[in-house]
Amino acid sequence: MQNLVNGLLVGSLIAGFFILTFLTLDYTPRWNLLWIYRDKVLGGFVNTLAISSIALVLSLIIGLLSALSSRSRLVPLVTLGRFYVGLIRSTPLMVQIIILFYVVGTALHITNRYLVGALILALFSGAYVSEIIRGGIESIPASQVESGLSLGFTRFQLYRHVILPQVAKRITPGIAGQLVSLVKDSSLLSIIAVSEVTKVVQEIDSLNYATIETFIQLAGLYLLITLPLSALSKALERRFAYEN
Amino acid sequence: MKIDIDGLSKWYDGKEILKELSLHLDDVSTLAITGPSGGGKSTLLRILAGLQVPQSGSVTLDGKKIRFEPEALHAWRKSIGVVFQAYNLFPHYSALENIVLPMTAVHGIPRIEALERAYALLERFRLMDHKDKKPGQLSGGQQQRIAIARAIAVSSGLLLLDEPTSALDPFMTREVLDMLRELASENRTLVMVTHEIAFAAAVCDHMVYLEDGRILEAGPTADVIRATGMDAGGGSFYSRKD
Repeated sequence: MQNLVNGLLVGSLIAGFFILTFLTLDYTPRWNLLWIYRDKVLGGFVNTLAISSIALVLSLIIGLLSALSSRSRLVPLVTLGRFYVGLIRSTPLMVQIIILFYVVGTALHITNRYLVGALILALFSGAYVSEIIRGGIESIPASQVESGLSLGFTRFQLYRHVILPQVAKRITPGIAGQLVSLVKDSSLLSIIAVSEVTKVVQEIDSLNYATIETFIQLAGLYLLITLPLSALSKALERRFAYEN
Repeated sequence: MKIDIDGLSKWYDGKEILKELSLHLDDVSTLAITGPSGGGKSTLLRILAGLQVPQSGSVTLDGKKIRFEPEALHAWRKSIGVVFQAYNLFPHYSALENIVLPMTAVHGIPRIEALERAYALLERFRLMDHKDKKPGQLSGGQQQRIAIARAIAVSSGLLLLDEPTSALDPFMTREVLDMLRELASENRTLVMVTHEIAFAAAVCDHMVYLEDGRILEAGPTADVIRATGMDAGGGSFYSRKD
């Protein structure tokens, strides 16, 4: 309850600040534009949700494989994993989108922008997920691995029954944070003309010249997805804290 | 158990831990490995447990040589029980699940049967009240007793213990040693690295004194204690003789 009151207080302070700055401008905002184009906006919102969901699932798979490869005994796999994570994390997402879409996508004859968009996001996010999972695995004390081996567990059984269940709990907050980033990062797919919600709002803006109103509302649309995700992450964190 | 170790050497990073160690003992039922810290006791136990591979030498138990290839080692590890100093248990499972999991996951024992076996062990060692607790909710002594129960649930005969009481206070040490004393009286071979000389004197039929990677004394416990001048009466809480 106290949190709610605090949230409302802080929220109205920030909103008040923006309203005041608006009033000082000689500007008549048009807040109804997104409503006028609501079908388009809804379509974009659904696309953002769909692309983010697909990218989320794929990035968890890619991240897990990459994290496991960095712990592998096969040197080429370790190198490949490190190279992937290093390259993705040290270059801008926008550059990756352009190169992967126009060069790699074209070469492989993948022309569906939505599919390529989801794949690029998954590759990008997977590198961060990989580091989160690797950190989680490394936080499991070596004594547990030794205990498991001495009981006759194979490495696979050890990962399945001992390491990964504990890692899953420890990394949930980090993964949820990464997921929130992924949803926001999907806005960059607008540069390859994927009609996700940012692209739709840009188009509405280009017809009506109402950047400020439309983009403030766009931020609200992202909050509709990211706030529940943050709440879910906090709830999971609390649940796991009780379990341990 | 007949123990034959010949020319066992182990080194890491250029540091020699075991130096052509040899040991021949007959009719061992309970063996204590003692000696100063850093002398190679734990390394020897880890080699016996199949967790480390020596650079040279051989280990033969009851005429059966331990083969140090990965698959043979895995089979060997499945057949014995090992308990370490501390933090043996998997923290995300209850005490009961810690005992059941190796039986079902590693040995393919049906869950019903595994549960029956686990309940029998918990009952026997008076741990039933704690079966649903996570390791974090148990005392150090209770954790070690669960770890020992887990080890013997799946091992047929040999139980290796690496300083099982060194992380415990005297009261918890006593409850763990009582459990080991009970196990020692069964048809089961115990090999333990320990500083509990009084306990070893009371319970172990054989003793090895290891220093600087070599065995200085080995044989019946009383002989080794006499030869090394160790004090079996003092220096330890556990000095009950019966």
